[in-house]
Amino acid sequence: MGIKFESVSFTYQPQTPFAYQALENVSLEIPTNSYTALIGHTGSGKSTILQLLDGLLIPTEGLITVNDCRITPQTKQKTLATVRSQVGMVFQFPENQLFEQTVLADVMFGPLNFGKSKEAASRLAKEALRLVGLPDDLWQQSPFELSGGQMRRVAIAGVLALEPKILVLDEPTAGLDPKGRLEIMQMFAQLYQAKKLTVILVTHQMEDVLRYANNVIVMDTGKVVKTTTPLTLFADEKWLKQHQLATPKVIQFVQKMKQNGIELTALPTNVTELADLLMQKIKIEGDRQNDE
Amino acid sequence: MMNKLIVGRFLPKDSFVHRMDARAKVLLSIAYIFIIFEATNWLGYLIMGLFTIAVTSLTKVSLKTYIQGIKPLIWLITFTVFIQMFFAPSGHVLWNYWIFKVTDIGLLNAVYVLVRFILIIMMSTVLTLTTSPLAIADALEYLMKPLLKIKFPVYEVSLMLSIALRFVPTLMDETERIMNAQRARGVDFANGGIIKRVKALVPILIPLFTNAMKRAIELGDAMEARGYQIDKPRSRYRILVWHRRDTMACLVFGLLLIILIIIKHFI
Repeated sequence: MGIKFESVSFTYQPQTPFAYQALENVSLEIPTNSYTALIGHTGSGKSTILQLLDGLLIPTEGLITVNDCRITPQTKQKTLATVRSQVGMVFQFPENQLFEQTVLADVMFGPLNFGKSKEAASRLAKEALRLVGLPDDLWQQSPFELSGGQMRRVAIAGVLALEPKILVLDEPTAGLDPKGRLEIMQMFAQLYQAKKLTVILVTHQMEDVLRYANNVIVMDTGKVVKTTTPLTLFADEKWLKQHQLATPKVIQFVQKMKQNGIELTALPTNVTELADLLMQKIKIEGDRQNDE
Repeated sequence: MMNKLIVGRFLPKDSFVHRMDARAKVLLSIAYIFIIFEATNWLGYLIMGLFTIAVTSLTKVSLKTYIQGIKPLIWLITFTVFIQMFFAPSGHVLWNYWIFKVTDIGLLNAVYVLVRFILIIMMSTVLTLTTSPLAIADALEYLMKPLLKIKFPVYEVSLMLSIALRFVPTLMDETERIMNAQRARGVDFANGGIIKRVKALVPILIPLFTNAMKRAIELGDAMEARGYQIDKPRSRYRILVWHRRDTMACLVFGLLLIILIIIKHFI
């Protein structure tokens, strides 16, 4: 179960002078019900991995297992529909894929394609629109009349309406304002908790990786270079520097304190935790001084 | 899908043909299409074939690439060749069935059409593989200059042309992205009857048009903000330089034409 890549390679436009190998012998495993962050530089092969596990691309070599489906270089395009019905994929700038006349019709589009009845599709669409927090007076409007943030919500609802077991997010908050970013990321975190999803997040926001993910895969030039938990990853200052990855602000703060001789008992994943740890520290220090 | 098309794509390299002036290449490519019609017999086509292969070897791109470039157009070529073969109006009949008949002249013509097609595609591939789209646009602008006399908007057209060329790959990427997004939502482009497939295009075309519109507005604003005014004289950044190798290439083409004319009339 879960997702498994076994020595997968992928080359774009093979056997032409434009051939480009995006993945080289990648093996990785994403357990069911994990929140996995996929990070790495632009062009490291993250998006290719996402497209492979949704059956949008077929590997040139190797085997991919998504739940019960096996994808090999010989797999025919036709058989990939089952994979796609299980994987919900939110692309970068998903608002660019809206096309229907009304918001509701656009969200219903996916479920209808996967063979749901009109009633069921409409019920799923309304549920998804409520989940993303789009006010219901907008449901009958044209998606092109909405603001950028609202359009993105509609697009995300269109994916959630498919009721995917695996949710793939390719930089879902790119280009949003801080408030919108937080709201959307919180929504995905709640969905992850409530629906027991497997979430795969591609992002350049290390804060989000630290805060929401419980599993990290680091990619570099078409290879997996590390699989670990966010806290272990960000604790290794030297390795991060070597691979030119940013450190989240909270961790930077903790490191600065450590340089000045103040050491915390654990690493925080967000500001609230940092405050708690600091309070603890202050209490302990205070108690010690009282004892003396 | 589109990835397989080699014609129309630019492959940056350093070769004799790459270094040639874009104007020379555009002119010679057009001239080539006229020259090839001067080849009317086996010898003529042999010379044209050898010449074309020689040119492709000058580009430092393998011959295999050019052959791959022909593959996507194979159906068009086959169709034309078969029409030539089955509907020849004259000649000695070799085979006959209903309205189809194959004659010796028809067969010969079919082979000529096939060779002509392949050679023209190869030469156009040479042009696009070795010349950057912007250089082609610059060359066309230069070559269109005489049209200024009849009040043809040469600069505007060439601006449109270079913007269009610039955005071809961007729009292709975007098409691919939108297609993927809709496939992830269950659209099936590969199966079903013709009506189903045409309907499946709606979720691609509408976003593509609206995005192109948005992009055009943004680009227009950005151009105005950077001081672009229509109808104002402008200087140019990329300057085309005619070298001796370009003159030489023209002379070689002239020589080729003369040889073909001699073969046509005297052999």
